[in-house]
Amino acid sequence: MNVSARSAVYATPAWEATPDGVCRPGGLALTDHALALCALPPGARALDVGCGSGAVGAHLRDRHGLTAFGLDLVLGALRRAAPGLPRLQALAETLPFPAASFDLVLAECSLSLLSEPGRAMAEFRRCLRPGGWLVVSDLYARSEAPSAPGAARLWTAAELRGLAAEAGFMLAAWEDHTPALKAFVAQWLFSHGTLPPLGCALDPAARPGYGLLIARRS
Amino acid sequence: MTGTVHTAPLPDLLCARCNVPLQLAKVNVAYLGNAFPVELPKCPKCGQVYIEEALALGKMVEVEQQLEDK
Repeated sequence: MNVSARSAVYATPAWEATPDGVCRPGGLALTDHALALCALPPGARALDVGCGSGAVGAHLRDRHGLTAFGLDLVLGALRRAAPGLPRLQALAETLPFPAASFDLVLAECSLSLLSEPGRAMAEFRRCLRPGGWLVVSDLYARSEAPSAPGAARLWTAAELRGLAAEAGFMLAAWEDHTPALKAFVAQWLFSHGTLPPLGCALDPAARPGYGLLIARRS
Repeated sequence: MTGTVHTAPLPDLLCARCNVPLQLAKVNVAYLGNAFPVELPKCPKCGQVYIEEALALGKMVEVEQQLEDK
């Protein structure tokens, strides 16, 4: 199996230098918004795929009362994770958990970095209990125009929803959060003098946006 | 852009208008429809903010081409 070199963008320590320790469009506010759309009981088991140093996992535990687990490929980030947060280094395409282990799987700005997103989606489904919730937020193409030569192709919203449907998920919500992407890029640009390392160049022809998908295991 | 909190002086950068060293200051930037605080070199006398040419004519243009809705 190929490990996506694009996930190495998260090895950059600068990713953690944000006010809430979450380096992606929307920050923890978008996570809170997504959880408000899911009906999760206290103590529900949540898996954060691409957890980095665990800011989201700690937030799920401390703010939402969930039992949080983290998974990432970047060992350095995992080592910096908050104490007491169970986390491990593994591929999202081969989750090291028994079937029906979780009530919630989050993949926030991580699915597009995976080598085999379809296989990862199938693993998310396997590890969720029936009726469990999937939360994906990620870059997507707001235009179906062909990509510029050499540019990484982004999914359209329909393709992203299709990926979830093919894996056996029922769509519960799809929302555009492109203003959060613009805010994130603008703030990063002025704070660091560079574009944020999102894992791919943003192709103007694709009209890059940021979307939130919420689905349930059928 | 606005801002008042001045920190370390930047002796290599002089204000073209006032000829005094710029200082890093927290300024509020309005850009791409968003407003956010960042630290940028600023003249303590006239308040002019300095943005590097490479940022203003390079990266900012690049970002606008990528993300602005025409």
